[in-house]
Amino acid sequence: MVPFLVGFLLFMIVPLGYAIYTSLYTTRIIGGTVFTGVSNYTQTLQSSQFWSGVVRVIIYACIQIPVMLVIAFFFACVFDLGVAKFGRTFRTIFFIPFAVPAVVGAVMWSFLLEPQFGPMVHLANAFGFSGTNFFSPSLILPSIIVIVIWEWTGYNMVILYTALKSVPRDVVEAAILDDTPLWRIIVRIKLPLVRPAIVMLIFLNTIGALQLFTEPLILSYFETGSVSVNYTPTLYIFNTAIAADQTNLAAAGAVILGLVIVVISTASLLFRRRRGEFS
Amino acid sequence: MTELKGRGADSAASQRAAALPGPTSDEGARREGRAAKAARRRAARKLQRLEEQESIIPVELYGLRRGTVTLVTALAFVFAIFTLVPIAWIVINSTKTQANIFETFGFWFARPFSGSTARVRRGSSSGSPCR
Repeated sequence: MVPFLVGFLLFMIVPLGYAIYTSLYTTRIIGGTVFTGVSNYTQTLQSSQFWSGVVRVIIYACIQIPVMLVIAFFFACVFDLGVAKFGRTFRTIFFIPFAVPAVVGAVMWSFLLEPQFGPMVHLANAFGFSGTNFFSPSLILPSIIVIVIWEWTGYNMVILYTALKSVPRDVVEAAILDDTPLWRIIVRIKLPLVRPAIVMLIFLNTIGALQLFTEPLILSYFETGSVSVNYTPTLYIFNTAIAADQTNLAAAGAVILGLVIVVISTASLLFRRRRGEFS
Repeated sequence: MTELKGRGADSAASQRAAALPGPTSDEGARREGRAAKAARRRAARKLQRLEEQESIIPVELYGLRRGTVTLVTALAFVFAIFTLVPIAWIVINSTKTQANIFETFGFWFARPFSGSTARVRRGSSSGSPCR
């Protein structure tokens, strides 16, 4: 217990306390660092830059999470039922991207989608979409969604697959004896029985979406101007601290984002406890 | 359950064999024990495979329309291609020179391989250095 507490204190509580402490001060060229209370918080909460990032991330989450979970659930069902051939091989292949670090994945995809030389642009041209620019303002968000789906679908699929494996066999057998079509077995029996796993994945992915950082950052290096400095809340915090050198303001932003995530996590816990998934 | 029972009986037998006097019979028992162990392991693996197969309901029982399995396998294949394309790209392009990454076809190898270019560049005294 003690080693854990030491680590927890050093690497969780102390940095957290320091972030909150930093966020209460303001460094000025004239006058140095002075205590300014919640002024950093009000400045962040009133900044349209911060909120436009939050809104963008919410839009992103509303598209990415459902699409990814539908694909993951479909393949998890298919492999669980044994409807596809070579299920074991496909399962392994789908899980490979999880082993690729997010930065490497983002760099790979940036090269593939690169407007001048990228193979995907040539492919789009071959299919008649000439002049496609995956880094243009209208296509940059879909590009990020594709990259994240590529990275995380296999992981979500494996979690759902494990949940599906625990569905009792006799329930499905009873349904077969009643001549239930397969899609109905999936939607009416399998889906409700793995709902706890799906709810958990929705919350995990929402928290992940709020922390979207690596992919837009890497893309911004490939095409200057494609990703604004406040594209996501985390990028806003990063750029405020590093590029604008306003560490105190960035700390306030980080604390606000952290609070949003705490609220979502607590809501998920309460939601799942009320449904009696655990006590 | 049966497997466990089998193992218990076997170990009892080997203990009895080990208790027998004489160096030759001891050697024989050890060899026999090894063979038995391998056989038991093989049997256990077979049993496990059978159990795994049994736990999956045979696809025929779902009363699927013909072609569903093929269609679903094709869909899985498409997604597998989507998954593997970037990885194939990075494996292929990690062998290329900086210039060839942009100038040659992305999904196949191109000479000179970057390892050999380094050697050529170092070896040639004539001509301007690339960088």
